[in-house]
Amino acid sequence: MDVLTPRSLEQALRLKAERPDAVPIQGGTDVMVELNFDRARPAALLNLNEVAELRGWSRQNGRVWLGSGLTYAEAMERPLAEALPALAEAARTVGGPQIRNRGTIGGNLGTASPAGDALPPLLVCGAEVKIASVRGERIVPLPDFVVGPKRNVLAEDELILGVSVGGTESRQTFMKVGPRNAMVIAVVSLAVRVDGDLRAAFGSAGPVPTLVRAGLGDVDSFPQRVAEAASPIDDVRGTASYRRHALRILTRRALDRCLV
Amino acid sequence: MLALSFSLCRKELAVGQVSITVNGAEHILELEPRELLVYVLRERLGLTGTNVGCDTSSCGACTVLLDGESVKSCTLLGVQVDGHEITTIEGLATNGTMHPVQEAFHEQHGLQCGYCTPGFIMAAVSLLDETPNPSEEEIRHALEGNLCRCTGYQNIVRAVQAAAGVEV
Amino acid sequence: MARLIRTEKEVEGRYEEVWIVVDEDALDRWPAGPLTTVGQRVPRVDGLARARGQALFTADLQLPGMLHTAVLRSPYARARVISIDLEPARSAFGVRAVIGPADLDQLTDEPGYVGHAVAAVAADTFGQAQAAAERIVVEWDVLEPLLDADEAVRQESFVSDVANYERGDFERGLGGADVVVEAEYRTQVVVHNSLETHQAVCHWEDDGITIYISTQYIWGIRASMADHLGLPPDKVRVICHAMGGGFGAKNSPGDYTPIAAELAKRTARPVRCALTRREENVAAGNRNATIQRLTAAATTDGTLVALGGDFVNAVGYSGWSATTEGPMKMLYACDNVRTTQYPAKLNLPPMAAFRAPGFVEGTFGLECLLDELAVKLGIDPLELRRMNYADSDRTDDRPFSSKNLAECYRRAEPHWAKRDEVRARSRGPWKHGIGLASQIWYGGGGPPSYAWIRVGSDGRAQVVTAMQDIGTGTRTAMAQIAAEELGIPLDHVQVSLGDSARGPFASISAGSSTVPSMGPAVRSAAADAKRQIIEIAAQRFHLEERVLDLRDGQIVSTDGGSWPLTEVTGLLESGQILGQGARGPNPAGMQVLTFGVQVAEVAVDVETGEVRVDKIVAIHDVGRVINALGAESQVEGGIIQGIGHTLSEERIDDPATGSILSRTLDAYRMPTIADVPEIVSELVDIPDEHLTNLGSKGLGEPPIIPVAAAIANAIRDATGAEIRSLPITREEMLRALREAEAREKERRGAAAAV
Repeated sequence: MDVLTPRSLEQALRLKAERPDAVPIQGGTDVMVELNFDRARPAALLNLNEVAELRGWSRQNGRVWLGSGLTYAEAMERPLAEALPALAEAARTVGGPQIRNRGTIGGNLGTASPAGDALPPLLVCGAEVKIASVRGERIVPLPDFVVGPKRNVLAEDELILGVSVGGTESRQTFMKVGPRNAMVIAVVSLAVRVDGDLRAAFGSAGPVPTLVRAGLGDVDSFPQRVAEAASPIDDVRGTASYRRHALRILTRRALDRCLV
Repeated sequence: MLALSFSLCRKELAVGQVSITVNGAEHILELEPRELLVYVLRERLGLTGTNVGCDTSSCGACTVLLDGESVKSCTLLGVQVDGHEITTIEGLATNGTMHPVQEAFHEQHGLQCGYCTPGFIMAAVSLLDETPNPSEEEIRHALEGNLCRCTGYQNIVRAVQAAAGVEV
Repeated sequence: MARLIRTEKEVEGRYEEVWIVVDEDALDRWPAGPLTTVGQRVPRVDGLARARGQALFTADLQLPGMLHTAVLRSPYARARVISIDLEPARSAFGVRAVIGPADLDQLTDEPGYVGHAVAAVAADTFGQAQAAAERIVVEWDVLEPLLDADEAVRQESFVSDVANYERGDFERGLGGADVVVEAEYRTQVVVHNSLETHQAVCHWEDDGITIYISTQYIWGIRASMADHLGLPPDKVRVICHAMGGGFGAKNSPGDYTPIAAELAKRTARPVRCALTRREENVAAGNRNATIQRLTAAATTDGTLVALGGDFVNAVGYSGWSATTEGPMKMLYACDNVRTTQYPAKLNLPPMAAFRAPGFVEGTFGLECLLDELAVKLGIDPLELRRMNYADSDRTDDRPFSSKNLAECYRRAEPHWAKRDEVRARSRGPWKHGIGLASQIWYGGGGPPSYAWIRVGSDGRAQVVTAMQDIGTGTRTAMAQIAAEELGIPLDHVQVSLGDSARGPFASISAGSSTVPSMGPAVRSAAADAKRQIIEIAAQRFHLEERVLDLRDGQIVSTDGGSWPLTEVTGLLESGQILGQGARGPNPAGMQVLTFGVQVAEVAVDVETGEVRVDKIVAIHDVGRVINALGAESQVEGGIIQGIGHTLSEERIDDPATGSILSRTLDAYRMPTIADVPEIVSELVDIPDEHLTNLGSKGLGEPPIIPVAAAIANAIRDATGAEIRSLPITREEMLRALREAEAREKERRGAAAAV
């Protein structure tokens, strides 16, 4: 296995073009576990830690730009946490501080797990993913970016630059159900945003994190609609019926929180 | 090959070598690409205070500081910390004087078997660097990435409070 | 004088009758309560080394030329190896030796559980060993596994005999009852998951072997490995400096030690065999699942007239069957008790002792059932327990050496009295409640155990004994006892342990026996040294021995004379005073047990099923407390393990194949620092006046025992729901709530019909 360490975005894109088999790695939260488990034996890793262009966040025309190298710890810090409170709440529930110091939004998008904690908050905030390769850049709305469990639309020479999100300063919240109070992979997770309409997005309750929208007048029926939009499975973390049940309860509570 | 050329631009290291500063001392090492940082520390540098408790980055026994921030050294490759600074439990004491967090774990009985202790201490040091006067809730949130199977955690919280100068 | 006695020896609730040679000097009893060093809150003597990362664990050992082992384990719960080809592994890079079923008893060609060891590879690095092990080609005949414990009972698939017990007449007792409750309780498999996995490094030198191992029983490893290797025991040296947790799973050599020994022999190199975390979750032992079908019957005045139960222990492929029925037999003064215990043999990984094996599970069933009975009787649960208080061991009518459970109940009263206050905290979906459960367990330790002590001319002492400190703070407790007896400061005592070649035999650190077994031997050794010091002092100062004593580092005489200890020990120059001591016998004809009660406050979110434990008050009677600081830490550690057992921990098996689905610390959910409630611990601290020269019992296990029942009873108090199965996941909680609702509806319906 080779470890390629580009020191600029341009080098990174060139390397990815030349070595499409190289697996991008940021914090290593998912990639290293796969490696340690010997479930994955990539021919190369593309270590993006030294690519400064992927870091940080900024405000752009009323939206917020999150670099793919933005860590969960950074997402928890003000003023970003005030602009995107649901994302900050989600970030607080990820792993422990060591993981939050290393794990990135880009990594969560790249893994595209149904349980990815950052994805529901990004979905309710209308995230658009910016992708690049030596061939150029393109923008994909997040619902179109994740196409299946741990599958996304990235071509083999492409890297995630970051996401652009709206809905800042709107009423939004995040909730997560797990078997203990820390270090849990969600049994079910939920982000809700109220801002002109009702939006909910959930994780761990279907093959991909899913967005549900309704008008402000549908507050009473919204929890049920969210639960019905889920297509959960039974697995070692929980049953499908519990996941649906929890989504209904959580949506109602999240709406209560947002509509205060 | 490209990666190597980028490395060469940056530093005068021989092919395949990395430079890692551990507890203030620079080490020039030739590493296998797959070598985890924790094994570089334990097996190459003999720093066995950093322990291994799992392989899923769950237990936190392998916590070290990377450029001052706490990380789990089982989720990092040695080659990824090329050019960076690592602090391990062995690097906390200065001139034989224990770090206040180490003293506090001893005095407050914040340990039993001691296997998880270095990881907890490193996570606590990282917390107190950023938040010198943490609340109990902040302490629990900052240490939630470390597992202890012996103590019940209460004295660990007390130890961090004591190190922060809170009356316990 | 050495005496030969015939006595019962108890470990983890298992008895055997043995001959034991005991030797004991009668010593004055220390007064109750904190003394100069004993009973004080003392930071650990080895705390700084551990906080520096300097403690040397077996995992840290790196010997020159050491090889690493990967074990090929069965992917099938029941199978036969039709053929196995080790050659592809032998020819792999870095490989030094490969062994299979033909080479070692611990490697099998008929695996009986997923994780059963089949072959092993030693290579220069662990990665090479793993890669080579994957190249081993096995042709399997996969057989149908037996995975259901009730089915095993039907097929009479047992690891040992079915255990029947009856006292009085259960049926007649039941016939005379006014109220009868029956329920089925289930407990799950939980895994010890010590932070340091099971491991050993074996190294043959001259004609013997040195074994570095993470163990709770140096001498047990020595004996069983000597037996396994056909060596005289003194050719086996066992070393354990520091170990990263055991909780009962590290009492024996397992498969990894014989594997490392064999590979070390074949390669003439030191060989490490360390389980990975995933192997640890499969092949390192577990607390087995149980099914308990229980009956409790009482008259309206609260007298228990019958207790009965069928207890199915899902032991696994091998192991022993713990006394899950123990609490039912021992906790209450019920005249009519009948129990049957079925030790089901299954194609699942073998059990290992886990912190009060049997009693944790059995107390959950019994103490939950007792609360159901209390509800039906309309009697306060604490009162019901007092009404049926046992004043002697009802299994064979022996008196207790000491029992202060009544005092524990008394101290629990102020916490129990807050019931209305706690319930009144209920808001919205969160319902609050309070519950309690009693604890009974062994913990008296026993002989033999020995300690030596040497005092140098500088007046400092070293305790030498080949015991192990499994993390509980043994070094500190032993140093305190020696310092107390010798009248010297704690920092003048050093404790040398962890090496079978350096020090006398010491007991196992299991069954809450370390302090009660070893402490008296250390005190006895210190007293022997003290006696010699006083003999010398008497000659030096021309005084009678009986007027001299050691106190605060001084030799003092009854007439007010005082000399620094070093004035006498200084006469030794390079000489030393050598003391030796032994653990005396347990009191003849008495039952030595520990007792306690815990009160839990919980909150239940009746919509999501989330259970939050707010507070646990733990009150235990374990005789004299040696180190209050260490003791409280033991209590807290036991409680948080109990909370894991109650709420989140569960080994998850595939019911069709017997494969283990939870193999990581992600999937196996131990409590984190964010899951800990407020814990209040109180130790009664009354020395057992019949037990040894210390009056101390063990504390390692008692605190975990009542946790699950106290929480479940608090949940009933909060919601009316009957918890019947562990862990209390959100789904289990919602199920119990639905059941309670249906029961309530039925009751109202019946009431309306009347």
